[in-house]
Amino acid sequence: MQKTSAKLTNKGQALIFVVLLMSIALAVGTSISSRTISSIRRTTNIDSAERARAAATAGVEFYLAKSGSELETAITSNGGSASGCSNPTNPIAYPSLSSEPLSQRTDNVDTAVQVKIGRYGCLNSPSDPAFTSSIAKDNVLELKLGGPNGSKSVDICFNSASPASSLYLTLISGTSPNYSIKKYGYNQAGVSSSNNFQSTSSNGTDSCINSNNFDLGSNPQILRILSLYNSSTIKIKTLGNYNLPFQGYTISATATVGGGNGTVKTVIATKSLPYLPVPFNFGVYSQSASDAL
Amino acid sequence: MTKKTAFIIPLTLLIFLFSANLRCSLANDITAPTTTLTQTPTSPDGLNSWYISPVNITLTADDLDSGVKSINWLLDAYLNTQTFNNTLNQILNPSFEDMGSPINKWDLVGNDGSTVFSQDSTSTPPLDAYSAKIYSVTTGWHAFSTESNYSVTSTYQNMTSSIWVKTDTLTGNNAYYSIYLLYDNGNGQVLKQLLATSSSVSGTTAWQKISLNFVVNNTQAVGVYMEAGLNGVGNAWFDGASISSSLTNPSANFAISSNGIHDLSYYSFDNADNEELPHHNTSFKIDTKAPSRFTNFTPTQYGNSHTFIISINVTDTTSGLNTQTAEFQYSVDEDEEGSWGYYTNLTGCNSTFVQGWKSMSTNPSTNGVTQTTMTTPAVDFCDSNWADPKKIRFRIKDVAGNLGQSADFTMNGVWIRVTNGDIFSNKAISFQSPSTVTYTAGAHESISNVTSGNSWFLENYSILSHENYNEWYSKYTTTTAPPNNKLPNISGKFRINSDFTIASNTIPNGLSNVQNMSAVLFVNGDLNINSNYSLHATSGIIFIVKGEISVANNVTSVDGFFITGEEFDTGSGNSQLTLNGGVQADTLVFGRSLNGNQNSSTPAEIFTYQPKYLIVGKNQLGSGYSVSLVSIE
Repeated sequence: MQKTSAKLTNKGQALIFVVLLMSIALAVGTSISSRTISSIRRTTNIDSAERARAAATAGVEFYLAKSGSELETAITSNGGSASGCSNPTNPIAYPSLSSEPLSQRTDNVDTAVQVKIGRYGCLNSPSDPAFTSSIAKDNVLELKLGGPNGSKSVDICFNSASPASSLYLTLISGTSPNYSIKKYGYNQAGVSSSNNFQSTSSNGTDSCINSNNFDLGSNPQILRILSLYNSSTIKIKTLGNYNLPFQGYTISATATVGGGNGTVKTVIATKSLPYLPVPFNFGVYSQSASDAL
Repeated sequence: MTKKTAFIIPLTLLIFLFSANLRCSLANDITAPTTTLTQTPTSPDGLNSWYISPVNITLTADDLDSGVKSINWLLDAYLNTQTFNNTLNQILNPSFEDMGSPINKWDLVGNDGSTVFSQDSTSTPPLDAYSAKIYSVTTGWHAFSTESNYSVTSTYQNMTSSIWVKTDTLTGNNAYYSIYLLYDNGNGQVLKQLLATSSSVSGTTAWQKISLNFVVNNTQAVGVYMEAGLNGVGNAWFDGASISSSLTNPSANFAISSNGIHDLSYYSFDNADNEELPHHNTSFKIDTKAPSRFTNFTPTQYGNSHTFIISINVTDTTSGLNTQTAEFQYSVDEDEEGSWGYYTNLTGCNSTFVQGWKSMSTNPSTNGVTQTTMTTPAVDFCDSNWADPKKIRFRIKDVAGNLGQSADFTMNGVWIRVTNGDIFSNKAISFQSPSTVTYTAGAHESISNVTSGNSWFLENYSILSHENYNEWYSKYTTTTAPPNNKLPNISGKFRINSDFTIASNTIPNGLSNVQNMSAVLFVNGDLNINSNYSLHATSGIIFIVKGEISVANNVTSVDGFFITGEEFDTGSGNSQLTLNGGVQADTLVFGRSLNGNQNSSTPAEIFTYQPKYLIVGKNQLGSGYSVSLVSIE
């Protein structure tokens, strides 16, 4: 009788031990699994972010390579305004639907890119915020002008870090073949220079040309603004009834990786209207740094 | 208690006292720093108190208590500040103001009974009222030392030190100071080791500051101390001793190089926020640029056809012109050696020819004007054979003493006109005869012999960048030949993969009537222009040429915008050349010369800038846009 009860007692201890052991194993396994899942999730997130950024960049670069007329076609064919800067296109799928969708390439990761194209730089009234742009030293900003005949004026103000920059303006007016050219040079307010350019007036933070009234004359076509001595920040506003047409295109691409609730990245770029580089400003330009002209 | 413990307790106490001293120094420091200025050149190297070279300035500040926190200088209304760390002076009684035996906190070294160590008030010390003096009549080392009041330090610490010293009839091996290290040798003993020695001073000198940076290169470092003294016979004074944990002695260095009058104000703050008052003020007049921009060269015939009164304008915008120094010299046959000078009788070529310069009048003649017109008396160039180059040159000084000399001007020499456009050179502009440009003349160096219609000049401007043939072609690659391998008469981008000659057989019929054409022609070789041609006013061709561009002597009219990284040669004929468009070239050769006296009134080459290329050209070279990445979200 005593042997039997002893056997019964021993069997219960083993069970407890096994249960305890299994509990420990379960806890360890759960912990490892949790860590693995977290790691995979982090890797997936990083990978998705990079994919989305790359896809959005690809969408932007695709349209940056298009000519102005192709961009105009894309705008007017996809719900954008026929002119002006008011309405960009509806989202355009990149690549086009006739091409292999991104999601079917190589690793079956669901990727979609939508591109919107619009125009920028329009000024429709003197109360519109100034068109602001930076011009690197010895580089040019070319403004498309145009409009009906009659006098037009704009407010051009600029500033720079030290040393003070100056602006050199080339205004082309008229229609082919009767183009005319006028040039203007301006130093910042309170800055004297041996270049003999005209001075400007200060509005507290900026130097402004002709007391905030630069006359574009009649039938202006383009205004090339060259920044000398340093880079400049310029601000342009229209005066009176003159409207400044658009100055370039904005291309915004949004990429989504992993479906509706996936990772989203947006890349936005601007592309100005085409212009010729600075050496085309000169009638005679001698490139040599060793031989005098 | 072990030996180590016995050593550690006082060391700990010492560190506590040091930090307490630090707090006390800040609290007790009521004396502002002193800032001194040294400069190179030490005085104006030009005339009339002008500098003709940039001035290098060093501001050095001293504060014997809490240490220098910042040196500040206001240069032409721009405030600059340089801050310093760990400048607390760790020497007690650094200016020798507290009397002791003879000076408090300073030990004596080499006190042999005949050497006199004293606190001195007669030497006009740079800091406060007293200095420490050593009068030695024996050879050997005699010094003041801070060994008993050493500065606590730590291993591998970078430290700086300095002291002011003055000597009188000091012979022997000079006055200097040394920095010693105290270190634990591991056996409870504190030993000393020479770390560094300063430069030395001898003879009779005024007060000067000597400095020394050093590194505590012992792993058992306890502290450092200074021994300042003389090794020899004579007198030496010391003042303003300093040891700090700053990496450098407080000083600021900068250069003033731009031309003009510059006001400089400088002062310092110490770590107790004492401001040095009053601020120091000084000014510098700098003019490194000689008179230049010799323009409006105007010969006026006087009497016979080879006698002229010649005037020219010159400019100096900084110190102004020294109008008494205007001179000229000329040559009636440049090929002859020693031919530059003047005839003693300027209107008589039979007189003696003298090598040298002749004075001339100026208007205005007031010294210091920024622009004047220099005028010669009547000068006879002896004959009208203008094929033999007859030249004249000018020179004048500015008030600062810089001498400016013009280029050589050729009498009846050739010149060019640039209409409706600008002219720019990445080197200098130096035409033989005065040339004209409607708008702006610009150059990386000087500009001579160019008149701008608006008087707009960009002189000494930075070099502009440009693209070469390969860069253009890589952007706008095309292998399309122009129709019939002639000049294009349709819009588009074309390439000729060899030399190309514009002649009667390569000019399409009716080219001048083709309207609204926008073309780019790449020439992968030389371009030779052997025939006149013209384009319709609404059309344009941009020539991008890998080799040279040359214009035949018989050509008088060319149309286009020409780009080459080689030479553009206008030829050497005696007929005028008109180019409608523009030219970008590595070098330009203007070899034409008109017959007889025509050069005096007529340009040999006319470049008429055509604005249509800024509009027409975009149609073909239209990917010249700017792109900016606005954001990534």
